Amino acid sequence: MIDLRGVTKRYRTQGRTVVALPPTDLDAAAGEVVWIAGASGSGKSTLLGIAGLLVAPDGGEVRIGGERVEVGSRRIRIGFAPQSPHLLGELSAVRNVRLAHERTSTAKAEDALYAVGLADAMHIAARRLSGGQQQRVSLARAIVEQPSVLIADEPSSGLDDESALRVFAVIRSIADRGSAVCVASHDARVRPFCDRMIALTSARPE
Amino acid sequence: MRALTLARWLMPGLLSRYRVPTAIAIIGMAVFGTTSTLLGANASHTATDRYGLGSEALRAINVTSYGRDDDPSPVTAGALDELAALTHVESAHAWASTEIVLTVPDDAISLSLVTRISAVQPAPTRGAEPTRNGILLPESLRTEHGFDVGDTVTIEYIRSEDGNGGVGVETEIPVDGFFDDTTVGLDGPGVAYGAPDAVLTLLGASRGHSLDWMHDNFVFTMGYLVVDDLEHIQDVADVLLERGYGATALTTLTSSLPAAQQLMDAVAVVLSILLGLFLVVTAAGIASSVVSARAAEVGVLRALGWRRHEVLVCFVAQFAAFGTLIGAIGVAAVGSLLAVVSLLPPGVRVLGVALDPRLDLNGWLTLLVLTLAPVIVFVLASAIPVLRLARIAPDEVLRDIRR
Ligand SMILES: Nc1ncnc2c1ncn2[C@@H]1O[C@H](COP(=O)(O)OP(=O)(O)O)[C@@H](O)[C@H]1O
Ligand SMILES: [Mg+2]
Repeated sequence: MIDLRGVTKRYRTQGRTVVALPPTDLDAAAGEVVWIAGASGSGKSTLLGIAGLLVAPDGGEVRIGGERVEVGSRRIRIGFAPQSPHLLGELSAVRNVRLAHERTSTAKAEDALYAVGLADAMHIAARRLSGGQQQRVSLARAIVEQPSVLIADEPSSGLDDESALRVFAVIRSIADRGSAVCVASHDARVRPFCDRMIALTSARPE
Repeated sequence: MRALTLARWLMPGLLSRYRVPTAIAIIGMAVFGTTSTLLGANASHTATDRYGLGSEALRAINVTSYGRDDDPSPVTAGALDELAALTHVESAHAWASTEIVLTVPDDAISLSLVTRISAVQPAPTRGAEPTRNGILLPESLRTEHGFDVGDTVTIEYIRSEDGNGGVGVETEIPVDGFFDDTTVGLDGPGVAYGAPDAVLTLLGASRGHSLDWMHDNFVFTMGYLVVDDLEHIQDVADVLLERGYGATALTTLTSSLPAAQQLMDAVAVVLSILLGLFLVVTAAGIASSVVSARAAEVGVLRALGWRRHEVLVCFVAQFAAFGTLIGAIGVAAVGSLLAVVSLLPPGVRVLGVALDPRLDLNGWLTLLVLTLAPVIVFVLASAIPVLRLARIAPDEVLRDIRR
């Protein structure tokens, strides 16, 4: 489904070039959960940014469904759940999910929230939800339009065991419904939910 | 469109978070709108305020006959009617005077009964303008002799007897009011005021003429024309001189008046600049704090596929709505304040400004500007922060994670 070949990214900061991501391959088939492991700073978020068509790689290519795609392309539906959910705090969970897409209706948003186990919290302002609930709203926002590819960056950061396992279970179920899923995490609790793992090594100055 | 939907969702939170500056802006609008409307009404040339810059007294021209037997242009009632029809002339008044004697216990007081022309005479201090046969007496008589409004007094006037000179006739007339005679007016000391026809009737009686005859033939010593605007006094005076009348403008202040008006205008300009600055600072302050509060969320929206212009529309709409709300509530407050002020008794002044709201064209224009200004100011003053929001790139959502 999604196939990254030799993608790489460098950043220049304060006159020094940092290799955020050395040439890396990543692929995930439909129905598969791929775990991107690695220490903090190893380039996980950068790789997901490239896979999510938010960051243009300096080298390599991105194919989705066999077709080469560029940054900003909207032909393929990609669900993206960033590390921090950044919900609009005063809006209800349903309204936050409705922001995912122009055509996301209230009914669809409610279904997505139901799927992530938030049936009781749908109409509560996002800022009143716990960290784990907010992560799940963010997931619901990413999956509400049935994406072909789901990308989740550190979905369990700051969550207790119970919340973390719940989030991972939701991610697994989305893959089971046919999405290709890439999860970046330095959290080993995700292992049982994944089909494969790709480990990144720490980035270093060139 | 989802951008406008989101704007609508975010509006209540925006308003409640910034309710203090919003309230201050509305109060500022209300105070500014009310004072500038009142100042404007005071400064307006065409205002008919009794004492202000637009007063009729300052716009009056004294018209005289030459008084010769062969006077080419006698000031008759008919002649004044013609003068009243001249362009820029608001009204024309004939001035006449006749002697009466007011009977008071143990005394008799001689008074000149003068045609009431309120434009150039002191205002009633109590009571009202004289009606058909009532009179206005000087305040000093009220205090000395205990007269009051509604009293009936006895006066004596002279009635001519064919060829035999005249005889004194006593009659009772009502006192309609009093005027301040502590300073001598244009009509000199020892005057009382009566309605035009009442004065003319007594004057005619002393000469053996009916009121109708007086209207048709009597040559008045003088009359007054009230001109619509100070700027036209010279033009009207020129026409009068051309037609053979004597003409004297009552005011020699015409050169200093525009300066006084400019001062009031300047005050209004300074006030509006202050209000404008306040609105700009408020809007820009709110906008930049919204930008820093919303940057991460907007990053997520962009990562979700929101376009730049959608973010732009969403936030411009919020600030436009914010400005509209301030403008609408501010103008409603101005309207209510002016309505309250207009309930005050006439003649009340604060710091010399008559509390006499008159919504002339300028007043309406002020209100229109007050309604629109906050909208424009809010949109423009928030433009830079909002453009910064719209420029947030989708990959900001990754960058933010490291913080
Ligand atoms: N926009 C950027 N500018 C400069 N350096 C960056 C940027 N994005 C990432 N980096 C650097 O690249 C490296 C990898 O970052 P990241 O992909 O966020 O790693 P991870 O998600 O595994 O913690 C880090 O050293 C980080 O400082
Ligand atoms: Mg990361």
